[in-house]
Amino acid sequence: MEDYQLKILTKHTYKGLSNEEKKVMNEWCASQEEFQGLKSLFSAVESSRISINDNSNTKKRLDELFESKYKASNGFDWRSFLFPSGVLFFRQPAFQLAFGIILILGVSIFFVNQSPVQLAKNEVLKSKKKKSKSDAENRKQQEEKTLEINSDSEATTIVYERNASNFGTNVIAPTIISEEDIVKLEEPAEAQMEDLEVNKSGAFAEDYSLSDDFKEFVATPIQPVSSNPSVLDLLFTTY
Amino acid sequence: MKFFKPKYASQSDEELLTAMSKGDKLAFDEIYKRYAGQLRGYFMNMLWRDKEKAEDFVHDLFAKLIRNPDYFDVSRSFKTWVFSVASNMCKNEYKKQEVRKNTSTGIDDYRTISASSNVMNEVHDSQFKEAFEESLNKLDEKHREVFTLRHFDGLSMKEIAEIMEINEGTVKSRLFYATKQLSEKLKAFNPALNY
Repeated sequence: MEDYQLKILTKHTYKGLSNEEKKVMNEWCASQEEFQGLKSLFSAVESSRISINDNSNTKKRLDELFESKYKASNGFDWRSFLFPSGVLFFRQPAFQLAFGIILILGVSIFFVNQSPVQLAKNEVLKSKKKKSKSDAENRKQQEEKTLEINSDSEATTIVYERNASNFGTNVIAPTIISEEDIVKLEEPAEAQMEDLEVNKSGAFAEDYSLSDDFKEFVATPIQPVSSNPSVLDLLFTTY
Repeated sequence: MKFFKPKYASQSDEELLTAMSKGDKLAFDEIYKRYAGQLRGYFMNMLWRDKEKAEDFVHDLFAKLIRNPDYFDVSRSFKTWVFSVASNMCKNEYKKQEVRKNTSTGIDDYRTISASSNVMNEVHDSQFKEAFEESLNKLDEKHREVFTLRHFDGLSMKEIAEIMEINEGTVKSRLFYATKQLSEKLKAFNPALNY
């Protein structure tokens, strides 16, 4: 019996059948009596089908058999250990291990990339900073002393910076420079040379070797503007 | 929400069998869920409604599958394959019972006793149901098998033909005969149903 015939049989009564449906069912039942016989047969089939339930321990025994078979052949069950069933993905040991490995690799790569040369440079800079700090303190003290000497005038200081190569020429470009630069200029030439050598620019350092005139100039205490007003004229030099 | 978890319910039987042969327990669970009930019903109907025997046969069939997954012929569909294995198991059981009949008590006696006792054990309240089951058991094997596969296990004519290794025409004629026989017997019984 085909599915559509079964549908007619289970959903209709004989009296409710259309002519077409009767034609379809004619192969199986020609009369009302036969129709009812078939109908009761399939209702019995339906009820028998429902009553078959799994109430035994068949599945349990099969599970044991399955586990004994595959555990024996595979040894430790890595798969179920790494990917336990019914566990969210981020709680699975496989995911957690992978995350840990990525974290370790990431951190180690970060540290490996910091080259030792860079570290050495940093140390030099630090020591230089310390040195320049202590020098700056000395210079401050010196300046204070100078200021005390020239207490009658205002403490306006102008430093004339000259290009080392142009020193001694008539062109003087006055500039007000920062305290750091003052410190640099007041540093002994040897110290400047040391710094330059540390910076690995030996050739440049050679060019920067300071003449005796410049040293003398630097060593000379700076005169306040009031004591030498002609300096102001230099500020407004027109070319 | 479960990420990266294979959807076993949407996988084909053959895919599940492949996974199962690699030790995937969940694949086995899915296969069992799909076929255990059907096979239990089939064995029940084929083995004189002997529930214990049906359970044993279901167990044996799945145990075979676990012990040797290569036993499954990949060129065939699993559904037809598993029912053909079940069919062969039943045939072997009939042969065993035949031998027993010739040596000691008759198979008819066994069937009658088994059927009646199991019917009593089952939760079958109505006499109508009992009558149906008895009628089904009294059918000969080939007609009962076709009827069971078609109406209890819901297999198509083509699948039944493949399982029983007969042509579709034979399946149709056997099914017609079995239905008519059962209907005739139940017509006399006249259950209290309102139409």
